[in-house]
Amino acid sequence: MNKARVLLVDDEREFAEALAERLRLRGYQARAAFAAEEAVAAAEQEAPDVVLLDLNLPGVRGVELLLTLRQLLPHAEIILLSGHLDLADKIEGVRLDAFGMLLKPVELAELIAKIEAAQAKRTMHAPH
Amino acid sequence: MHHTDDAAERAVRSFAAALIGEIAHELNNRLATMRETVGLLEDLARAGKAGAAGTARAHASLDAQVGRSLNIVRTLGGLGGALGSTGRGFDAGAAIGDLLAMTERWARRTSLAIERDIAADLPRAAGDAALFLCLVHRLIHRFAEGRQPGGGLALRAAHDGTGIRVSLALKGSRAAPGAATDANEHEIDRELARRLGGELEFGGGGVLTIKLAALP
Repeated sequence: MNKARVLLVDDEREFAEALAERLRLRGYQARAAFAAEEAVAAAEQEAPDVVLLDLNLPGVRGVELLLTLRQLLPHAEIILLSGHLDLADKIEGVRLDAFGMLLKPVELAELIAKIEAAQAKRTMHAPH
Repeated sequence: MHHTDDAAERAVRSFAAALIGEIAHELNNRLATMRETVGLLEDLARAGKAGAAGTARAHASLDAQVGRSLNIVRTLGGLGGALGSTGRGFDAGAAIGDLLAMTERWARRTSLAIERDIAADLPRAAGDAALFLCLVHRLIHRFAEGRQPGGGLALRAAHDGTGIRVSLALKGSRAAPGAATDANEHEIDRELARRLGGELEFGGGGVLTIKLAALP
C-alpha cells in the first residue's frame, strides 16, 4: 500500500508545519494549509488521500469546509483534528462521514495509525 | 416566571460550558504545538539533520507557546477571582478583559473585531460576576450574529456617577442587535440583568447598555 498523500488544514501554523515535516520524515507526502481557501486550492491541485481538518478556522464555518472538501475529494478520508470538539462538531462529523475525530495533542503513533487505517479503507473502496 | 428562571440557569450553565470549551481548545493547541515542535527536533536530531538555525527556531517557538499558555493561566486566575467574589462585588473592567481574552479565538474565527474602551477608574460592581459575564457573552454572540458582513463591535464601560454602564454597539453595520432574536432570549437577558441587581437598556441605534450598581 502506498504511503498516503496527507493534507493538514489548521490555522495553528507552527503546529501544522511541524506535524507536516514529521510526516514527511516518515515517508508521507504531507502539505499544510492554514486557511480555508488555501485548503480548497490544495485539495483541487493535489487530490490528497487523507485530510486532517481542524473545524475551527477563521472566517469560515468548519462544517461548510468539511462539506466542500467532501465534494471535491469524494474518495479521500477526512479526519477531524482539533483542540476541542463539542457535541455539535461530533454530530456533524458523523453526519458528514468523517473517518475519525482526534483531540489535540495527539500522539504521533496514534495519528499515523489513523492515517494508515484511512488509507487502507480508501484503497479498499477506491474505484479500480 | 419559573420558565424564565430555568432558562436563566441554563444560560449560565451554557456560558460556563462554552468558556471551558474555549479554554480547553486554546490550551490543547498550545500543548499540541509544543509536542510537535519537540518531536520534530528529536526527529531531525535522529536523522542527523538538526542545524543550529532550526534548533533556535524551535526554541523560539516553544518560548512563545509557553508565554501564551501562561497568559491563559493568568486570565483563568483573574476569572476565578471574579467568579469567587460573591458578595464582595467585582471589577467589571478586568472581568470584561479576561472574558475577551478567553473568547479571542472565537472572535478571530468569526472575523468579529471588538473595539474596547474600559474606563480605568471603575468602582467595584455589585452583583454576581458569573451572571455579568454570562450576559456580556450572550450579547457579544448576539451582536456577532446580527451584524452585516464586516461589522464590528464597540464595547465600553464607564462610571456614570451612580453606577457602571457597560454598552455594546455595532460598528460599520446598520443591523439592529438581536433584531432577529426571539422574545424569549431578550427575556432571559433581562432576567440575568435583574439577578445582577441591574437592568438592561435597549437603546436606539443598535446600542445595548447593562446598568450595574456600584459598591459604595
